[in-house]
Amino acid sequence: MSKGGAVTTARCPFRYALLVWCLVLHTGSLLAAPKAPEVYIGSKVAPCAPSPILQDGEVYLPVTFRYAGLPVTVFAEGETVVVRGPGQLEGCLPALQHQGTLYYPVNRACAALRLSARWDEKANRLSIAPRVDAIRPEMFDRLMTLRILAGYPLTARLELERNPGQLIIEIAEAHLFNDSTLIPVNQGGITRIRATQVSYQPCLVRITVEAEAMPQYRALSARATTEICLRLGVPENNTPEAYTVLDRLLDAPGSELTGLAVTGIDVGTSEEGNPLVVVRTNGPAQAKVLRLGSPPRVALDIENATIQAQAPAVPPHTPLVQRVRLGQFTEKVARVVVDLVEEAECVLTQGHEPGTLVLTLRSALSRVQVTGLKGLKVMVDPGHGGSLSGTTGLSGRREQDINLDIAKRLYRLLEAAGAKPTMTRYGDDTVGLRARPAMANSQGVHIFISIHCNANGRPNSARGIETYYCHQHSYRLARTLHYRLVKELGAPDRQVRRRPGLVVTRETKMPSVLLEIGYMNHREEDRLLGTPEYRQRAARAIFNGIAEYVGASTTAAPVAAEEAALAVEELEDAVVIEEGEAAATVEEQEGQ
Amino acid sequence: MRRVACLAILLLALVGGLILWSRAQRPPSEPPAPTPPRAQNAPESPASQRITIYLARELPRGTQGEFVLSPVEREVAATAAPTMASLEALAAGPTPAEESEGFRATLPEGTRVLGVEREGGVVTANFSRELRDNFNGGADWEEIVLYSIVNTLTELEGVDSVRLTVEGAPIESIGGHLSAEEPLRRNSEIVVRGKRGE
Ligand SMILES: [Zn+2]
Repeated sequence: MSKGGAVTTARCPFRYALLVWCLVLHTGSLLAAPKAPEVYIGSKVAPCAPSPILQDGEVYLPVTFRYAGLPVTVFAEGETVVVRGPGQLEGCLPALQHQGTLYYPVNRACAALRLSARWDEKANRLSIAPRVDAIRPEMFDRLMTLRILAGYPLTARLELERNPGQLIIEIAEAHLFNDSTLIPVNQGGITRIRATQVSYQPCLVRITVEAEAMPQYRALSARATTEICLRLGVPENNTPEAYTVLDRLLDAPGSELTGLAVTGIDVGTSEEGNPLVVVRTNGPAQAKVLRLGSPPRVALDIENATIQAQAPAVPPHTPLVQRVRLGQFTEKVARVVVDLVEEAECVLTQGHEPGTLVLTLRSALSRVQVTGLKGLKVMVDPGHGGSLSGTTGLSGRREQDINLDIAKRLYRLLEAAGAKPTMTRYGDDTVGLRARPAMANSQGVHIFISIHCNANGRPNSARGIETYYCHQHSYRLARTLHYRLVKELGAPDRQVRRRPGLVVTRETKMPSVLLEIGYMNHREEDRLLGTPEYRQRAARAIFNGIAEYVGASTTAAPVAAEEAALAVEELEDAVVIEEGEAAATVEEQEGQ
Repeated sequence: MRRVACLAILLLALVGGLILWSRAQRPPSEPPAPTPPRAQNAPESPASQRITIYLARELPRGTQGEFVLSPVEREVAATAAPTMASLEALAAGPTPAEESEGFRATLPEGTRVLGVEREGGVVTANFSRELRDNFNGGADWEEIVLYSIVNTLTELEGVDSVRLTVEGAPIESIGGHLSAEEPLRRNSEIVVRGKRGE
């Protein structure tokens, strides 16, 4: 009883302490904490929680921040932040961790996305808006074609001034590439073009064409377009006749448009689960389909049409489609480009509604999926070999031998499942680093898997699986194989990493990965990699990952008796693959 | 007695709270810059020049065994050729003090610098065969080794890119993951990557 009493009184001071401590924290933050900076997208406040942070004079935004109204996505990929905008715009930025959230430098992100970010320290305000990238005047026969380019659709408001003669082009919700710019012209009665950022809040850019008399213009595209295009001129003198001549010049062929426009684009999924891209126009439209490779994409050219629509967002979990972008390909052709995750087949049909075009996509791999792994061409690349040695384990085992053994086991599993595996080497041969992706490209394989084991600068400091990829179309394969290995080997997850410099993943045209299956300078992992059982499990995990990737079911596949026997066999004689085949492949490559 | 204890704890809590609060208001700070080792008692004299080299450094937090490149400074004789001096300092690796801060040598054991040539903005660094033969590492460690050389040399005024040779001959790769055939430009990403773990 007395014991309990003592405990209670002893707690008393702690309670006080807690109370005072809370008070200090609370009043402190009320009185002295700097106000969180406000973030604006264009002229509108965009909520940002947690707040941006300032470091080394740079503003960092949390990865959770949403660019309201702009087709921008931001996500963490491992420990970097990837920002993606319309078209091919993409940036991969170093991130910093602060109180459990990833932050990225907003200036660098915006530069990659053709946006502009202005930090106003006095106003404690960050303004982000589409950037007017270029102002391009072109003179021809006293007429000027003026193009104003941006990465995002902008709308121009146009106004004529008589005294002095001016055409004023106002673009709201945009930033100019710099605070002000002067372009001298001195031709055809046009003196110069002056562009200024009137203000960042509200967000307004003004471009003034200064002339000797009041100019006349035709707006070829000025609403919701990434290329504002005007044709303008100044009369030779201030007479009504001169204005009539000018009008005729402005309306001359070349400036007329048929009036056909792309008015909307949607991405959906058919009843069979195939992705659809629906393009709506305001009239009967003629279109051509072009299939383009590396990166795989489909282009849809709509003739005699302009674009009056925005690039659609791709709903999450849409198969195959990475993004859709659109642009005025030539003055008369509107182009819709569908960026694909992997090669796909496509069919273009007329929709039920008049003027609607429907593009249906089907995975080129899906035909393989129907029969499981049958016919799937997989190139397995055992890293290093011959005189190009890899790392050496703590036990003295060579990486090139472990790689080859796992590769052979994987080869066997694939072959047994009806796939068509090939290898870059079948023995301890020297095969050049560039020769490996070249083999895969020339043989037109579906996927490429490079097998390696790891080591770093301090023994026993790291263990686990690392998976590397280069091109975006390899990410799904990388992820699938990575998590299979992590799960089935029970190894630590050291993340899927995007590295642009790795030769085999960079140079291959098909989805490709480089797997680092454990650290050979970690005592325990080195020991595991030295056992045939572990290597068989690794091969089985990769095989299961490939099956998952192509949509084949493997859960039902029992481990065959033969495989169980393989699991305990030692390296050299575990799997014998015809050497002749290997030698031929290597020679063929070297001859090229 | 109990009252004294009470007061002492209150005071402690106050001070602790203030410290914690003032920390919470600060943006995350850079890791303390490693102090360059300086020759004992040697005052800054025109007889020496300062060079920056890039060593591997294990991130103190986050995933274990994750390395980035981190700059350290060295003082060398003013008469030394900065390219050669930089590579020799790189081959010598970290000081014991730096090693305890997580720095590691990047050049494989036994690697010797055989020579450096400079032609315009391109520096050719010639190493002994140990650079390739004794390399032990995976894809990311090879990136560290390769760019410790490239970033160290491109730190010097006017050096844009670095070509590697082993015993005078061009090499395809140091470790079989990255290409070293072409002259390489600086990789700053591998240095800032460290900020992620802070
Ligand atoms: Zn390797």
